[in-house]
Amino acid sequence: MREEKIKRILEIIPGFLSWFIIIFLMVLFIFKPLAAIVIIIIYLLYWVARLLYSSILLLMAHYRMLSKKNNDWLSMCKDVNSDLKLEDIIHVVLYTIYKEPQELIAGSLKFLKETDYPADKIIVVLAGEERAQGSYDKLKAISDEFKKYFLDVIITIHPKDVPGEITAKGANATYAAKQVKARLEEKGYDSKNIIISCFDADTCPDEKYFSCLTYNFLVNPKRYHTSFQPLPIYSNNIYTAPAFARVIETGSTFWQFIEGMRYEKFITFSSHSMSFKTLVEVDYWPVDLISDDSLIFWKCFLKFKGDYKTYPLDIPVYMDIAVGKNWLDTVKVQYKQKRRWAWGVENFIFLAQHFLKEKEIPFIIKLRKLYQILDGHVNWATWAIIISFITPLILFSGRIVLKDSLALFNLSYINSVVFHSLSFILLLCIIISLEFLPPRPKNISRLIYVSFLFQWLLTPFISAVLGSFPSLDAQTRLMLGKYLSFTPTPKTR
Amino acid sequence: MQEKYYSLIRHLSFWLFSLAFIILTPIIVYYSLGYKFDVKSKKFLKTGALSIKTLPRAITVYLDGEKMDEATPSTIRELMPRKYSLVLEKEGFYPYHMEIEIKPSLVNSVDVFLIPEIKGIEKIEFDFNVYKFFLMRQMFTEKILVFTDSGIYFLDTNFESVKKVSEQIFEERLANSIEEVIANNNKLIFWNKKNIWVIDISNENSFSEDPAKPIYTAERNIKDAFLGLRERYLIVNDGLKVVALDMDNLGVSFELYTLNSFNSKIFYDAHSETLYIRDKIAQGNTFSLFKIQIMPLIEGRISNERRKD
Repeated sequence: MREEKIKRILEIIPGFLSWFIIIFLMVLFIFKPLAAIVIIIIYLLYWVARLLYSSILLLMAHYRMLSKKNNDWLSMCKDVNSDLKLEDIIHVVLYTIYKEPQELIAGSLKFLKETDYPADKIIVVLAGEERAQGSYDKLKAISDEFKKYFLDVIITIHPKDVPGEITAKGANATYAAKQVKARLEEKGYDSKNIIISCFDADTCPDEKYFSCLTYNFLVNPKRYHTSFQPLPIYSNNIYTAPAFARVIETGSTFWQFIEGMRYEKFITFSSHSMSFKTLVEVDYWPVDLISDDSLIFWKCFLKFKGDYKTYPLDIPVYMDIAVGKNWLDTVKVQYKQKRRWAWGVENFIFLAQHFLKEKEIPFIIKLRKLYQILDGHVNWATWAIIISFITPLILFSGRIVLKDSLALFNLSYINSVVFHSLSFILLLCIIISLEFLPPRPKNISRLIYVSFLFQWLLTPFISAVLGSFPSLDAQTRLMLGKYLSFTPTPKTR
Repeated sequence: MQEKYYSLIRHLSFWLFSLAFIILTPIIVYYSLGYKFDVKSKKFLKTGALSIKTLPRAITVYLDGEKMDEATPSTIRELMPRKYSLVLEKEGFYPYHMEIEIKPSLVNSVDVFLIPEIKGIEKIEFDFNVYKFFLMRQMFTEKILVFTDSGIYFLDTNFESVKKVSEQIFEERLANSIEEVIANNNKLIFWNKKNIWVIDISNENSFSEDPAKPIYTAERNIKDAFLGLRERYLIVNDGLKVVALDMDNLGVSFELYTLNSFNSKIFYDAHSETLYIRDKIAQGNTFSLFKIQIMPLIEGRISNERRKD
């Protein structure tokens, strides 16, 4: 009973904070406009500093990625002097599949087959869902096509309506991993030597992904206390996706890129890899929560009393931009996808609940981690709303209420400085994003590059509509106890 | 580069930006509120600012005789609260002098439209004696109607095209007495206190042939005239009555209303086809406001007649 109450209080905190910030600023402006202006000035200055700091991280991340680009990871693996050898390592690549079309999954496996890592050291797991009709037949056809290339292709079908589970990707991945464990044990493989990569159905790894992953696994003395995070680049369908969807997904890539520079704060996101031994030890991905990709990190963090990290590999995996049947449908699909990502705020509740019972992790670390999650989510839900809506609203209505105020006059100037800082970071993004572009299909005109440049003008609007609003929506639902159900992103190519 | 160097740069950047934020924020907030540290008095003083916008832009600003670095549009900050003399100067424009007052924590916004110096004056090409002219709008363009000793002319506003409207020469005194001109359905209607004239301008080639036809002579003085009844009539207040002159069939007129006072005024709203009259009330000395809605009156009569038929 007490636990339930604590959980409800924790669920209310993020949404309450976000709404409080937004409402407080508006109410303060009505009753004490000058105080509201001063707070907005401080807030904008904070964002100027944060954006400039982020641009330095972005430049560093870019430099680090370029410096590793030409590494021959496979040869480096052979030369590693470690307790583990390259030939000991087996990769399990687990694709969670729902209703994705056969050709999309086959496309991803084609990429996997063509990596520089020996395919006979890769076991592919096609994890289907009983809920999706005809799953087995579809996966069987794919398995028949690709079995000859890999060490093995295992098909698992996650039964529907399992008590204690919610309809989420984590439940499927966990079911599949448990099935695979039994199979591997039968064949005598040691879970210590197995690296599992949990991929979405559309994940196409870079050709050096597995060799780079293997090298970093081999050389890492804390390999069982580390998750390995590729750089998710949403580019598989970049030439056909609407401009606003491209901007938001490229923004997600850059966010991961920047986050990858902050090792101590970096956590797993979307497709990721880790030791199979560790996965078993932490009892797999959560089956009753939506954000399995980040929660697996926190499960490990708790299990190893804070001694767990995510290592950024700086090698991309290419994924699809979530698109719908038409422009409006794409807005809906994107909104739902971002809301699901923003549901990652449940990490705060999960972690806080466990921290209350956990005695070995120092209090200051617990506080920092909770602040890290809360800060990230509250800022996500509020910053674009404050910058794109509240500040212009204050500037506009301030001209009526505080016509001659010097503070208001200066706020307008500082606001323009923020937008210049944004433009600077956008310019960096434009330059760097061009490197992530796959070759242009022949049926696409060169003129699309013009739209690739001008698409960034949509950023202020998109960051609010498809950035802050879905996040605020997720937090509000959590605050009101209206829990989100897992909505798989439709993937077609 | 090794990971430790990335970490070092990152931490240095973090502390650099954090420190910059911590140090600069109070300064910028104080500055935004108008505070300035005065080294002499070692005190924070509240200042104001002056924002200047001009048309055209790039005007040189002098404040109390001192030339400012930035041309307009510009903002001059950290001004001590008092009165200043502001001069805006640009070659080719009249210098603009004004006195402005700066108040603490406030911005005095000045928006000035500078007048260019008059250097040349344009003269119309013909040499006739111009008695009177009217600026009027005809078919979405501005035109000038000129009464001269050689007839009546239409000019375009850039003086490039001259077209004779009528051969009729109004003597100077009569031309000067004309009070208003309106254009309607290829007709030019103009009047003085006594008469109303019409010139047909429907046939451009025979403009000069048509003399100005007098269509109405007032018993007293013409005080107001409006186009009404779907612009087919000229509603005229001649001091004694309100009459409607048919513009399609010249010479046909109707008396709409008999006025009680010579000091009455009328206004005709062509949109609602309503005639408003300020007139003395019958057997009284006070004025009141009356209105006649013409169209319902006409429509009512038409339906009555149809019913009778």
